[in-house]
Amino acid sequence: MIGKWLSKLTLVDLPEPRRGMAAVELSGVRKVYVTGAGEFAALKGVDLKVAAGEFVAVVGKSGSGKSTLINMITGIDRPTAGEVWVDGMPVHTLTENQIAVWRGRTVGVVFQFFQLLPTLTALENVMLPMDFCDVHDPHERPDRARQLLELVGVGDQADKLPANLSGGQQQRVAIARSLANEPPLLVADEPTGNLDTRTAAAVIDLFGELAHAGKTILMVTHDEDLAHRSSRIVTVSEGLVLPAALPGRGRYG
Amino acid sequence: MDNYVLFTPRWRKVWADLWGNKLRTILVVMSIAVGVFAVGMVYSSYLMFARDLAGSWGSASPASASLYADPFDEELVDSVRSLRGVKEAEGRRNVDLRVRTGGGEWRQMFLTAIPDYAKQKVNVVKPQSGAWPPGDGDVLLERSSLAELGVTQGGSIQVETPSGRKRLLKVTGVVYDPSQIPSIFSGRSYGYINMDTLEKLDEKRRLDQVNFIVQPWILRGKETEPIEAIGRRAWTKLEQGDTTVFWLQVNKPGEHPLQGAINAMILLLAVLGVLSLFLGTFLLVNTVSAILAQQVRQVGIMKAIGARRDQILRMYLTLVGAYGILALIVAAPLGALAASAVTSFIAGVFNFDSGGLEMPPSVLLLEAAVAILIPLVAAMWPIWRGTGVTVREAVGDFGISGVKAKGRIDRWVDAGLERLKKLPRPLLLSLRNTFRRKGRLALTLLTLTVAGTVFMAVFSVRSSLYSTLDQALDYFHYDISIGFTQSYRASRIEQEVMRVPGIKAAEAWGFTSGRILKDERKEAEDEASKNVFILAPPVETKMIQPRIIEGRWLVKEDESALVVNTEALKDNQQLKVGEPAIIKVGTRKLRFTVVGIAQSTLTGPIVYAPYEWLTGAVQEAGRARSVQIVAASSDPKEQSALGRTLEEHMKKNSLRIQNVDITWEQKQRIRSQFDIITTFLLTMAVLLAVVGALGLTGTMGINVLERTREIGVMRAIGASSLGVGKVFVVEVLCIGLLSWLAGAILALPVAALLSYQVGVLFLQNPLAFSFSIAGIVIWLVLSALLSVLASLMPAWNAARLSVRDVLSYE
Repeated sequence: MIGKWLSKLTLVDLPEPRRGMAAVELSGVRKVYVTGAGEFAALKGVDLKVAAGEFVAVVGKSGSGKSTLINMITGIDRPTAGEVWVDGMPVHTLTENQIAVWRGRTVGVVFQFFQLLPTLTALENVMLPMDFCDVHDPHERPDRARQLLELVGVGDQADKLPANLSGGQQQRVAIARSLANEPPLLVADEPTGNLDTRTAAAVIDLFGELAHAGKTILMVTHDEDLAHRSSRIVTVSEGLVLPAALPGRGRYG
Repeated sequence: MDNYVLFTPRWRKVWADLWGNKLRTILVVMSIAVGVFAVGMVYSSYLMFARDLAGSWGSASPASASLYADPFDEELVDSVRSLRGVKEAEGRRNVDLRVRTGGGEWRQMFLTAIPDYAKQKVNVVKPQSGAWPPGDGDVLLERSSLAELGVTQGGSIQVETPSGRKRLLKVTGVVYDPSQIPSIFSGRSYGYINMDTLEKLDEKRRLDQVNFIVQPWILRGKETEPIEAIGRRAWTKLEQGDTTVFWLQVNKPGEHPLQGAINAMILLLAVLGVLSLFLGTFLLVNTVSAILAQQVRQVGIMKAIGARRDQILRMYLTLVGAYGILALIVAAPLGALAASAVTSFIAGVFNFDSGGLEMPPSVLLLEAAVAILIPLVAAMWPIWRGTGVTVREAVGDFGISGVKAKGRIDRWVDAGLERLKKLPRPLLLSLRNTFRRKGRLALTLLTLTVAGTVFMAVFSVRSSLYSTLDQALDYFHYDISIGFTQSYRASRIEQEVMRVPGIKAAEAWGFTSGRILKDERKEAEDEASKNVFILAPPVETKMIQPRIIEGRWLVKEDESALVVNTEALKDNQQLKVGEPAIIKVGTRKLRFTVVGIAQSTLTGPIVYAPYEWLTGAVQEAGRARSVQIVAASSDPKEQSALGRTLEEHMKKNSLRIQNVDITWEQKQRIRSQFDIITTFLLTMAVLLAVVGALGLTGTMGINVLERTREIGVMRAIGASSLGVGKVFVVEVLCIGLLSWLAGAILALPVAALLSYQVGVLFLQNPLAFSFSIAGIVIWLVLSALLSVLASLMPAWNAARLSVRDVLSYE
């Protein structure tokens, strides 16, 4: 009974996505934080379009607003003004709960600090999003999770707890988890920040392969070398996206 | 465990939280269990108590009232039975005599002769073991008297008749007399004999007590007036039959004679139950908030990967429900066991049959509600708030959270700490930490304060009980009191007493009983009124020291002056200093003027009149019925022995003795009754202290977990293990001290209230309130000790962590 009441209280119905839009489309996005020291504008009117299958690296100095930018896209944070459309979904209009459900199915999130649940095994961590969002038949979930772990190269670590894995292994599990519900979009905030150079390169390669397979990937990094291995670099500075600096990579309009 | 279909990852996480952190689970389960246990124990002992006491006592057809008179014949009982409104009446004979216990001491014994054991109708005595009914020259002992007398079935007891002859009675059986006040309270032993045995005790085959039950239609609820009215008529009937009635005892319908004491116990039990429940709830809210605080990041991650709020809510509510079920499993059987222990303890004290353990569904239902519903409700808010955290807040939570002065309290605390700048930094850190999480601090403080308040209040009730007792017992300045069955010349009594060696002083007093009438009218004689004892000491007596609370004590010039004690005053509200009082003694109506009111001495309703005047008024001038004696020795053993010597000496000189009371034995008996309550109170205090300690341990443990990263930073900048440990110990001491202070302030009104209630219930009189400083000191030491103990484990864990462990801690 309590369960019913709870579901009612937190009822989730997603609006129909608008057709014919880009994978990610931001227009006039502003974000102002109110802090003890006064107002601080992290984003000052950002316009950005990302097409499906692109592998975008978001670069910029510390405090430039790049993390804020991708938090807008994942719905982890909401804009003060402007619109955020992901695959035709107006993310800026959704409630916290709608965002949770939508994100669970549409966006795979990878964090800098891996953020695996410490009390669950690698396999269980990967299965968790399927469980929450009720994706895949329950009987198939363990196999699907195992396949994903194989895909990212840690199939043999499936039954270990995160504490018993190395940083690189943990990040691979986290990537496998982000892929659990087969989202079209993958967003990673400094996914290599806590990894050594070799492991970091391997993770970027993995992203490249996933983009090749059709996923749209947005990755925040401050490592110029790694950024150059993406298909497009977006530079954020003082809350604004700079015009494309690298010739030959093409601009999307 | 490998079935991921039935047991999906999210429920695996709940399981891991439950099973993986056993220490925390034990702590939470214990905090819920304490409440469940206490509520279950109180409620089921209350039910068992109500059931067994009513059953045991009701089955004896207890008398509505009893009349005591000089010996009379069976026909008079018939005349009482024939009164309108009387349903049943039965006559008995009581012989008050001295008995030699197994230990060789001489004590008071009450032998009751019942004309026909097979046809008992009122105050039914039931066979328990051995012979039934008693044979000629045999005695059946009341079961509560066996221990008192130190004999067993098959043995024999030596009694001494009022005329001084010794007789041996064979103990052939044990009986149960539910309507008798148990030996531990009355200090008497009870035996049952047949009418033939009476002659062996130099008594005639006559009766001296009528017990009767009134018709149900007479009764008006719990009022005693209708019974008293009939008692008055029965009294008149007996006196028309040419016997002197000296006592009418009326029982409150449907109430055990010791109902007041029983209610006092139930009140204490209920207070204990409700408080433990409160404490358990506080603990729970604290723990659940802490668990969620610890899991903020995990909640954030789950949301980031698509969990809805209701899914997370359900996970944590299930976790709390699981804690509740575990607590129920632990606490329900323990509660039942404790309830049956409590019931059988009380059954022993109050002498009723305990019907054994019973777990009515209502108890289980209440326990389940307390174990599961209350935690769920208590956890609802912290869970709702905790699951409302946004992903950004959660994932951005980096162990050491910023602290900024937000409200007035913060600024106030900061300003206070600013002034203490000279203190060492680590100490300042501890103090600041204490006030960092105000919600949690408030709850921990509340838990400890409530525990402390009641602990200290309980000590005050105990000391109030004792000071009431001391005040009452301070009244007795004599060591031995002897009562006679008839009056003798006062000079003769005193002379005989002084001939016994070891006597320092003796004083003969007039003594009689009567009833206080409402007014002068003739009709007032038939109106309901209670009996009082009239003591007539010489006015300048030093043998007693009544505490006068209004008016004055008797003086030489007094003629018909009267001092009334507070217990007599309660039944006769019309008595006021300066106003007249009418007392009927035997067939005479005596007119007094009330000159003073004295504090009750826990010995019943008593009035005092000047010796000369009273003895003159009852035609016994120069004579006395009792003598109070001061012994030369203050040694209790010697005083008891002296009592015995006096008794034998009096009897040898043909003074017929009714009773010999040794003051210290009497005091001892009153104290042991008080001990029943104080033992209860202490148990309660200890239980509360345990709950408080549990709460503190839990809070500190969680505080340390939360600050693991901070500990690492402290270590990295050079804090020793001792230094880190000290930060936590000081913090917890600070909490302990604060709660002690708050508790000490609150304890005063709570103690006053509790003392009043316990006094009114247990002694029908508010206690002489005495605030226990000892209780405050004990709690100060105890809470400091508990605090340190509670912080030792977490502090030890904190100090053991290496810098690397801590900084990589997620």
